[in-house]
Amino acid sequence: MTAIDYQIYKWDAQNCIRCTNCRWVDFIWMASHRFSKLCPSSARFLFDAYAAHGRYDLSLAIAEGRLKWSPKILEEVYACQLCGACDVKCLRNVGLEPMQVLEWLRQKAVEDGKGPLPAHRKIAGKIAESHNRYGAPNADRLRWLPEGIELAPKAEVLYFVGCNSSFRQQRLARATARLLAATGTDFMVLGPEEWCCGNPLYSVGLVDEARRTAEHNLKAIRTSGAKMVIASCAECYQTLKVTYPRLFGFSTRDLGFEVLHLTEFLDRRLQEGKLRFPYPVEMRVTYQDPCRLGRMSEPWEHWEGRRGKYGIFDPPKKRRKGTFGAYDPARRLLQAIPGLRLEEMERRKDQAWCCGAGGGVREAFRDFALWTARERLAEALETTGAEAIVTACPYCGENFAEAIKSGDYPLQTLDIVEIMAKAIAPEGKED
Amino acid sequence: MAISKEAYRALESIVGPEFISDDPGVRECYRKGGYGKNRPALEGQALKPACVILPGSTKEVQEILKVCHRYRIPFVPVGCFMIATQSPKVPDVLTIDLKRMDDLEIDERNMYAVCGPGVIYAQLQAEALKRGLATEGPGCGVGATVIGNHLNAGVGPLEYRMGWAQRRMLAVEWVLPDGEIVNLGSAAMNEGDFFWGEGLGPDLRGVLRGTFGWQGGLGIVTKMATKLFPFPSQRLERTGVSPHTGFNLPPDLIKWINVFYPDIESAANAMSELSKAQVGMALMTAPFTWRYFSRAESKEDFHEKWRRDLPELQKTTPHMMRIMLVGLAGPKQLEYEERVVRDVIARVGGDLREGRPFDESWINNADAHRIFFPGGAETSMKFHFDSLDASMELAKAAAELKKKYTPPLIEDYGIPGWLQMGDFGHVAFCEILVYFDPTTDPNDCYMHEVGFVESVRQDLALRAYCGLQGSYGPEPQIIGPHYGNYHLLEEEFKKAFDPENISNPPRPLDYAYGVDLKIDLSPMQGAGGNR
Repeated sequence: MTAIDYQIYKWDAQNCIRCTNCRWVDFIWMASHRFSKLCPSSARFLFDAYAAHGRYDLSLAIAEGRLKWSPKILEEVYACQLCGACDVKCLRNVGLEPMQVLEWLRQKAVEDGKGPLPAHRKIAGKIAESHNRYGAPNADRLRWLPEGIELAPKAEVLYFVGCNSSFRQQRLARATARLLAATGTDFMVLGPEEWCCGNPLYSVGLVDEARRTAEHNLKAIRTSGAKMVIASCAECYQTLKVTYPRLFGFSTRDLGFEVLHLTEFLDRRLQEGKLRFPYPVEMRVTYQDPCRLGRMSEPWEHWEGRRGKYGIFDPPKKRRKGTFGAYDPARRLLQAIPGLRLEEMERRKDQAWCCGAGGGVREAFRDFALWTARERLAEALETTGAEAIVTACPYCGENFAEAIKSGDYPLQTLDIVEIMAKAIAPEGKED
Repeated sequence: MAISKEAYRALESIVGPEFISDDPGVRECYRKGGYGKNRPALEGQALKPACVILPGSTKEVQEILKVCHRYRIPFVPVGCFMIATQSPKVPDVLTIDLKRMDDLEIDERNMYAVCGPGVIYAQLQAEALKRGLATEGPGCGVGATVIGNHLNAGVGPLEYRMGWAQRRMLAVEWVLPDGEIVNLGSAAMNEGDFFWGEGLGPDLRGVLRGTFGWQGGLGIVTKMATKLFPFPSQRLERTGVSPHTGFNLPPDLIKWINVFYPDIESAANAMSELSKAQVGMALMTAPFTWRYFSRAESKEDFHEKWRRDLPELQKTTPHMMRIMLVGLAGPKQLEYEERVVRDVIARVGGDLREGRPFDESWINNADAHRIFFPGGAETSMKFHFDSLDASMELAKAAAELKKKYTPPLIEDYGIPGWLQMGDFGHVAFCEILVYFDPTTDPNDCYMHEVGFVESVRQDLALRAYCGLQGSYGPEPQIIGPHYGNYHLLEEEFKKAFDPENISNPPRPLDYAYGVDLKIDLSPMQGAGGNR
């Protein structure tokens, strides 16, 4: 069964007015013709089936049985990062929620036995078998741990490391641990009890599988007694904070613990005077707002009810418009680093262009993922002159790194934790 | 797919396999347009195209149309496809999606832009503002394509100074339905020179433009130059996170003044007097519904507050007139214009208040589609250009008529639309909107249609200019005789330029309105009289 009730959101599909707002940067913030687009899928594949307004049409045709699944239609549904840009844009004016329908389409494909795509199934298999997306032994989850960092056996703060930092970019986990230690924060980790957050499952429509991994992690976190869970990965962060409550039908505030991205936590420490950056980092950088840390990160408010005349939700439903995404903590942290100069790209915050990696795109449509990243790199170079594009999600960083390598861009990509680690330790001591 | 394999291969050879598709999913998404899709006359008859193609250049458009002409394939050009008139209405259509053709060049010194058919207003405005220039964001929103809107009516709030879009049209490159290219204005004499609109002999721009235009019925305009205007954009400051984004206005250069009146006559009188002074950038009345739309957090919030405040609003019926002042030559101009406005209002009366130094609606018309937000659908019951007196009378009559159909139309306490001055007061535009839910109760849609027909009857009775003709309204042979038999002239043009009838047939002359609804249109035949 799909997690989303299409009968509730069918009204949106029927009442899309095809204004195409979902494809464009907020018209106030649009600063140039070159960087005026906001939907990577529509910008790359051009046909309207690859825009949210077209996918509304697809959903109606599939729900009404007028359209049968085919490899091409699966591509039209899955060649999308689920970056949430269309949602923010549509909610700004027309008040519809295309993301609900985009996600439903994937869940429906799975329900009908047609989705997800083979690349997604492969990852799902690894998660089922090894509890991480790479198929590595989950017992190795703590291999990243550096010498000199003590994990607390019991603490209020739990660091949810994530698959990428545990097994691939372990330097990010090490830098995170050093930053937490530098702020005097006792923290624990789940170690082998940490399973993949489930984002690679939920985002491709594998709801039952996502529920299983979420159930395990929720139990492990609650058993640990943590009051606060910190993630340095935007995907893990948003999955814990938003998807878990969605999957089990409650609100974020009822999770029983607070979920923070590392940047939010360190920003608090910075404001409290418990984090200082004594070492300058002489660099001109620009910042990539990860979609799942920014516009998609507002807390989940559980809603149950019916849809009445004019599409009114009864009882009233709180919309997640992207207004209160975590845009500023990372910026405040970067601005606090001596020597570092932050230059903004034209498309920023809620209007940021996706890195290209999310929603299962990097796994199933690698060329599209890299094309999307290259569009962003071009913007960084042409509008900021930055030496580095800094992000706060390892998947953004990974995708940018590959795009930079393939295109020989005069730019590097860094995770914000790497930069902050440089600013708290003398040169060469950060990792 | 009813386009033959041979024709498909010919089309594919022009654009390459990446830019043509007969996939059922792709075709499904080109069936329905946006605005007006809830009109049974439009959506009810919308068909899937047989195939969709994305040309990248004028040459490709030309070759595509030649193939269409050779194989007698009907085609429908779409820009942003915001309007339902680009829904295929005959079977086996080739939809030509022009979004790849988004070249944009601005001649800063000579203040004009040359646009491809895929360029939207927001892109043009973004580039123009960078150069201290501006265009007018149309009332339908800046997601509209520049060319599509210029070939339509092109009404927007800044028309008071900048004029309608169709009047800003300069040189044009136009591919006829048989693939022949026609250049108009300076482009006819010097290839690539789009500086000037007029040419030697008859001006064929007159064939292209007109209210609601040809709806793709006369081929494809592939390039068009449009005038730009000076604007002190350097100090506009973008601010906010969605949905609260807007421009902070430099208070010494741009200012809104709002004046409140107890009745529409007083507001119109003030607009007339202000127009005589020829100051300002925009001058119009604004219904209070807009304020509620823009401030509402959600549909539920809107309907709750609207219901709460309606009794009070119905008692006071405040009419708000707004004027935007811009110091194009600097702060002194703004000071002067403000003094003029204050003098005029002191003379004619009105409760004058300074507006917030903030703009989200007028310079870049970013929130135009909020009008769809309360109900799900919105259509224009009137779309009328005339003298201010005539427009005002029509607005009042329309408000009365609308009461008959409210509910199911959403209540507006008697101010269902707005008056807007164009060309420094030489014309007054009146648009009356209706908001409704087209999906929950089919009867609402039917009632809306009945009200719409009644509205046209009203136009005829009042001898008003009926702007919603052709595919939007009653059959042309019924209303045509009331308006100089314009439809016969359109038929002649259509035959001359599109003898095979392959360019978005049967538009713009659509003879199927009302048939499905069984609405009796015969009383119109005797109503009114020839103008």
